[in-house]
Amino acid sequence: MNIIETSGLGHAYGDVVALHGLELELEGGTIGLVGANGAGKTTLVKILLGILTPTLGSVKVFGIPVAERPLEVRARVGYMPERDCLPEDQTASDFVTYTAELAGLPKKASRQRASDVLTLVGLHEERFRPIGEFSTGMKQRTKLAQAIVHDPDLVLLDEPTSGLDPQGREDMLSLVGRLGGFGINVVTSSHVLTDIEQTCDWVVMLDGGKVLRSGPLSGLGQTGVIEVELTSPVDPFMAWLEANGASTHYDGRVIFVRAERNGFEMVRDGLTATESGLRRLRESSTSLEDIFMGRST
Amino acid sequence: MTQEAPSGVVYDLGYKPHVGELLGRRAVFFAVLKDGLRRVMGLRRRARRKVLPWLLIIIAVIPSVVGVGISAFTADFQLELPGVFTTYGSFPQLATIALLFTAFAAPELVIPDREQGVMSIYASRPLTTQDYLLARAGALGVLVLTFLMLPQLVMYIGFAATSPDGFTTYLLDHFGDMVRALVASLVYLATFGSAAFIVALFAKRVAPAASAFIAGMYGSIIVAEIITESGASLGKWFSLLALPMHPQFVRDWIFDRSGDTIPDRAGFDPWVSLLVILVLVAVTGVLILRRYRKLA
Repeated sequence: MNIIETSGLGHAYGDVVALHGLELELEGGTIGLVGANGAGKTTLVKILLGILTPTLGSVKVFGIPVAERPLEVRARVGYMPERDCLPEDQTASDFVTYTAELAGLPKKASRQRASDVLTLVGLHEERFRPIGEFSTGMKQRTKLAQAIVHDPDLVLLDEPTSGLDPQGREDMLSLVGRLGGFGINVVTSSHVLTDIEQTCDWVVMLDGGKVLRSGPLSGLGQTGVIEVELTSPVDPFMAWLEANGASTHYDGRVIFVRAERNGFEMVRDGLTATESGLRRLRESSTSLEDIFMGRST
Repeated sequence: MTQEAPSGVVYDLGYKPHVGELLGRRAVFFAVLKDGLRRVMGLRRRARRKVLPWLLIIIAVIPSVVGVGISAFTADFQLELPGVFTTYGSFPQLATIALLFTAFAAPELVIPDREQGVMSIYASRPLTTQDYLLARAGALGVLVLTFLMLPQLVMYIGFAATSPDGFTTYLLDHFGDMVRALVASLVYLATFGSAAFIVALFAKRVAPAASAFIAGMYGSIIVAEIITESGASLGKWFSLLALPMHPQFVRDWIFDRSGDTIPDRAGFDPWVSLLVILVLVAVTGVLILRRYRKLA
């Protein structure tokens, strides 16, 4: 079952079109929503929560039409906003307990769940301190805790690593990566492509309010090109490959080989036939950033 | 050689899903209301957050406690000592203190949520903007009404306990006073609460909002007084600007007392003051909904 389905989804703020004809069918898992600032990520997240009503098209979350039944959707969804959303004068424990009650959990269960998730995000010791005394990293963890305290089926994370130092970022990504294992579907909105690469198994790229690409991350970086470095002269090896139907390109250090099929086997046979010495062999891959930037060049 | 077990082991308890029931929207509404009560009274917050609300409550209750104490020793102690002790029909000090309490309570209920971004958390939970606003207004209602009624309840129970006519007789004889006091308190709540909410809608911090509300309320009396007394052609209508005078005028009407309020002196009937209060409540409701729709 699709967790998110959009059909011709569009939204405009006056004359400014934020989303334009979005067609998405997303199954469960950890989904990355990437795009530059202003690409429409936050607008999409707000529409998924039923905070914004789309001006065009429709959206369903867990098969529930969001515009018609937003409260049903919100009962099953958690949300971690990008910007500050924590009361400075409350302890993390009290606030997360309160947010659990806001999702309909009974008082006692709320307190227990708050304690559990604060421990999970690494704030067990600090949970009785006022949030105003927290570092940025601790605040981000508290935001994540409130997003999952009611055991949602889907959690929407808006720039979860925003403002974090490198260690804090790694910690947060590690936590986000663990959510899938708890049976929680995750949509992470970010403009940091490496964060998406590190945590997600599906990526939706937005650009100017349109879907640039939606697909699994695993196949996204594959290019079908094999990179070979030799310790011996390259000409006999390249000639053998081209004689056998592969195309090659040499940049002075690496030979890039593209074969219609069985590329690695062809490289192996070529190495044996030409008695070439192999230094390095790997499949050429590309990053999300390469793909994203490649679009505009 | 034996090896000691490592100490200080951290056990990762993992993630335990919630398997119990989920309560409905009504429970969520009361959670917001309860949070409002705790926030204003400084409960589960630092000690300094408790000082102002509790101090105001103590100041409000002291006259009643003193009155009850004196009545315990003086059988013929008269309740009606205007300006000295709080009484059912006339509680001038109490109204002033209630105004200060409301000035601080209403902004405290809505401004921090808005300015600290907590509204985005509410927006992700199964409750509507109207639910949130009604719960916050409900919290203000409970607090201000309790604030106004508590001193009178202390008097009611205290005087009954010391009454030479007997406890039950006193309660029955003065039950009507308590009902009238409750209605008058509701009128004060509607006036102060609405005006304070309007200020809180546009302020970014609690203290300036409270100051602006107090200044506005007393300023409205001064402006209305000056214009009305100037004898200007439309001066009579300016008497209606004196917002704190309206609940006082209506209260006097409820208790069938003669008072000294600007609208009264200008020749208006008390129902006009009641109408002004109802219009104020309606305007506040519309402004709040418009403001929060824009925020969403």
